[in-house]
Amino acid sequence: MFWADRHFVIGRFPPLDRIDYLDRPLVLLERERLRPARPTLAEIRAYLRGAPFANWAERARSFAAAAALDAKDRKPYLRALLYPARLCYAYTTGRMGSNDDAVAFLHERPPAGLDVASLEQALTCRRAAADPDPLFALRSVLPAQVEACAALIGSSQ
Amino acid sequence: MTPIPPDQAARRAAVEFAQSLVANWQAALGIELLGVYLIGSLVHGGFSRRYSDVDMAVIAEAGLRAATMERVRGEAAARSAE
Repeated sequence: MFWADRHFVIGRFPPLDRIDYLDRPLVLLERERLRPARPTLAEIRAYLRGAPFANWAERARSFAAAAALDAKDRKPYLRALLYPARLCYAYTTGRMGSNDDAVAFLHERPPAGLDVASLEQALTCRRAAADPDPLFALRSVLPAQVEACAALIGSSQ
Repeated sequence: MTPIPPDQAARRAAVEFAQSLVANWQAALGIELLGVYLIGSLVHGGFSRRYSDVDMAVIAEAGLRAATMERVRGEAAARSAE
């Protein structure tokens, strides 16, 4: 859940989600429409380089070293496989897109070293709402995905 | 009649669920509540009945207190289990 005060000074509302709120919210209740400053590309990139990248990299390395996929880890595992698509798409464009948008974008403009085929497989699994167990072998590509994303976000600060 | 695709049906149910929580936010915040919104894949497409979260955004005059969040989360969890 995301939340903020009137001035968007306190709360939990990261830049990309703020863009989502500005551009295309589905209104459930509205007494007053507040329009915080639109996050700049520099702000989005600074945010993505921080906790989102670090948390994903840690999870990715953990899955890469795992011997088995626990049932409780199916959702986080598929998310870890797909996250490079969202990260690279948002980092490059400054936009908030769906996983479909992100993978389609990376087919056209793949960052150096990024394995887009594994992203496509993960996206297919997601669309089918299937178990990711057949994709567990793809954990071996995760360290290289981390390196590719690190290179992208390190090269364009 | 054409059956509704599972993700579409799940999306509809998720939106209805979120709508049902608005009254809880109103009760908890009163006139402090400025807006309740859905964002994320529920709105911009690609919602997955299995893998997506319901991303709700709440704007309140002075923000949310931890106790208020816990209360509404608890009510949401109880309703979700119904």
